[in-house]
Amino acid sequence: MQTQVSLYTTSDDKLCRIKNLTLIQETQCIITMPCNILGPIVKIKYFPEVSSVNYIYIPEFKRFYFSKAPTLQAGSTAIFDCSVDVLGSYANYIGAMDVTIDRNEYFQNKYIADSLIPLNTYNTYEVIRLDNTIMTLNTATADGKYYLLSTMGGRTV
Amino acid sequence: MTLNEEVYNTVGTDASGIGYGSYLQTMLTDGKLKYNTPWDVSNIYVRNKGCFLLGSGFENNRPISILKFTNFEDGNNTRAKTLDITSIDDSAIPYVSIRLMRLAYNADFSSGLPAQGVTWGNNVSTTGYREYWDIWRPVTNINFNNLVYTVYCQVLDNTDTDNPVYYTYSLDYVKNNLPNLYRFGFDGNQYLVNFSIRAFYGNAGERERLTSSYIFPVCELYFPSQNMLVYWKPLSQSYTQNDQYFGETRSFYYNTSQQRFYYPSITQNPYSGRLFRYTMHSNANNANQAFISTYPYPQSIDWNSLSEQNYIVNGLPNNNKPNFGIFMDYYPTLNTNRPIYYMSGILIEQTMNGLGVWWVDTEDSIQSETGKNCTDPHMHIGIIDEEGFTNGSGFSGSEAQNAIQSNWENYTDSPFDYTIPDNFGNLVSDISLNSPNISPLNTFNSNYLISANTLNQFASWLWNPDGTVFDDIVNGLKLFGQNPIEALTSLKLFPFDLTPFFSTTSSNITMGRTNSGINADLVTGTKTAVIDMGSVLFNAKYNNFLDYSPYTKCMLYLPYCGTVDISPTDVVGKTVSVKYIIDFVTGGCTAVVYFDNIPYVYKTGIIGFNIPVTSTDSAALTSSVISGTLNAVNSGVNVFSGNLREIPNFGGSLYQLSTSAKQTFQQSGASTGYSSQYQPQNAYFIVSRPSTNIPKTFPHTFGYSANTSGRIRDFSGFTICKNVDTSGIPDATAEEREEIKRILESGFYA
Repeated sequence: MQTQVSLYTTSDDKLCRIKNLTLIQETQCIITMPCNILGPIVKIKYFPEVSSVNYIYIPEFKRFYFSKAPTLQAGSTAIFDCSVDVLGSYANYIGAMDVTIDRNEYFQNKYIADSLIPLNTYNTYEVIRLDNTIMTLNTATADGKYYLLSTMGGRTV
Repeated sequence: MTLNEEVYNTVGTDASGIGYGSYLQTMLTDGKLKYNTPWDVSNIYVRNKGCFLLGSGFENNRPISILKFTNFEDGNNTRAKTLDITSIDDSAIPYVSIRLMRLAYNADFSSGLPAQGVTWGNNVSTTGYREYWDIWRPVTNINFNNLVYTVYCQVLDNTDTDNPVYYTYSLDYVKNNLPNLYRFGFDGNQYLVNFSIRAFYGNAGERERLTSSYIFPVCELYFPSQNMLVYWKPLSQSYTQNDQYFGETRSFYYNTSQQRFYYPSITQNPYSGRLFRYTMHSNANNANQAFISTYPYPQSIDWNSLSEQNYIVNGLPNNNKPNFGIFMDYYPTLNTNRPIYYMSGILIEQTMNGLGVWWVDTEDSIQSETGKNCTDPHMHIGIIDEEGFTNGSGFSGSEAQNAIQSNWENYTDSPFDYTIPDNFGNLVSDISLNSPNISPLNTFNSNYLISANTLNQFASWLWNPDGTVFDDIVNGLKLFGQNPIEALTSLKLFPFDLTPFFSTTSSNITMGRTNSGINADLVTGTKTAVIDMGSVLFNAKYNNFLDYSPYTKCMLYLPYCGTVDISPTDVVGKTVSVKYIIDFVTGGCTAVVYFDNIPYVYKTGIIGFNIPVTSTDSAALTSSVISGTLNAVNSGVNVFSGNLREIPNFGGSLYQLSTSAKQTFQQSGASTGYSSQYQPQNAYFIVSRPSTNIPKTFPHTFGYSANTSGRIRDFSGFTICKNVDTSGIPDATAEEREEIKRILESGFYA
């Protein structure tokens, strides 16, 4: 099957929803049959920058694909073994999805216990003292009234 | 809701058909509203569970906190005193307040500075400054679906620090074209410094900007623990200018000389970042107190205490210290024009949704349909749940037709009743100790405050071998006991001077009916039995979950009582104070530990060390003589003594108190009591905190706990979703849906 293909290079992580792409060439290709739409094999005519291609868009399938390093064949043909990039192919739909965000790089709910935060095995200790001026036994003198004497009665004879 | 027209009666209707009531100040004067008293809530159309607006901090992961008005200076600032909310129990969460949204009306532009209600002083003379109370009226009648707000973002481009430029963009533009603008404060040259809203009113296609009047969405702070609605405040403490309403991006400080709170303008002009510093510098004295947004709530700090050492630790903000604009002056790589608050497009969106009103993220959509005809994806409205809460999420476009507000003709059609339920019981903000008028002391017996010197004199008299003294004592005691030593009920040593606790009169010590001739302070009454052992504000360290159980543990040592485990969850952000109630009869004590004004922990101990007066250690001979003298009358006295205990209405209970007190002392053990006096005499916490070891790459590779909801495109960076529903993605195969679900739930870069 012959169709149009856009050849890109990207240095972004495969897990990026929106990748920065550099277009290398738009060209005709041949997709070998039978073809799994999620993992097509694409043949193109060799050109010097072909080795930098690692990302492909096939308009016919409306999908972006990761491509392994091309295999060169006699007759100036480069063959790309592709696998679909679902994040890239459905980036807009995914972006519009209302979801529950469990973890995020920038948004943090700081008061939810985060079991992934690495903790050292040791703890740190703080001592916080409450000061008072009432306990003065250590500075007491013999005239200080620190004794309470209780006697029965209280009437004199 | 059913508007209580006895409180919120319509006094006028403007040209737009908007009905309004009296000024708040008039309502306060008329007694329809009262300070520090829950206000009538019948004009509240929605509650907002959280505060999404702004937070302080320099880094993206700093806590988001609402400015709360605590630690007001007293001084002559009567308004601040009236609004004193310093004792709020906020459960250590910085934004426990619940926003109760209502609409306020302002049409008083006579000053030329409409709604410039940024001051709280009572002696404000500066032209143009007006109290909120003087310019706000409650809205009593409005077509809710005709009211739409636009949202604008103020962006500071500081690329050229000598010529910074301000831009105004729509929120839609910021979110789509400046997605990383929310990370500001330290890096980059563009900052999202502010946002404003403008009110439009009318039918779709005919909506006009309200320029001669203004409608504020306002809220109150509601503190459940106090059952108290504190005050109306706008979206945040801010102001309007040229009929725009600005969200808060500022700290504020109180100038005692002018009795006003100021909002130093950090972002309004290129040099205003220095205003805070400059103003404070030029008045560098203790009269100037800065009130700053920090966790857990604003703190008052003394300008003179500011120093690099206090606020910078290893080149980074000290998390234990307040953060505010002045920090920028000490951080050499920072530009003073950089704002200090965290704000993002997401937060603005959540804030607007939290208001529950219609709003558009681009002015191009201002004429779009609302309500049941809403289709414009730029038209938004906050989702109100079944209990009447918004949580920051919203409907957009045709989905907004499902919003409950779409059915409202008037905002009073809100079906929710926010009347504060009265089933909380008797809510109070503090629990006081009792102050009994009657003391067991000095009723059937006599008590003397004596010094060590006096005690020695007394002992010398008591153990004097002169037989006449013994005869006197024995004669005096025959009516009361079988043993003259019974006349000495107890002798206790306390670790503090007893003088402040009693009212006394000078008198000779008397045993039974025998006057010793030794002068001492006879107790005539008890002034107090409560000792203040100090207090401390228990601060958070990390400002996150690590400050709480089970990660952080703490133990409180209480002199004479031992130790008690305290849950940090109960005390973070609270003032912990300790009081001791002294039982002078038994020598016992009860330590009462307060969290703010509520006593939470009671722990008993022995604080009065009993001196065993029956001991014969130092006066064995004399003691044995006394005992021997009385042997002859032992049996008869025993009978009498027994009868005395059984005689009702003859002070029997007091007698038992005295004797049992003596026994209690002996059982407590002298060594235990006295050894306690060698232990620390201050209460203190030992806090065990976890130690983190977070690599710089952690957020980018693991992310932080978020537990929030929203559209994926509104987030960036490493993200993990929970329980993703992929059914809305068209054309994807089942395998692809599974793969999307797997990736979203295992981590990706949004």
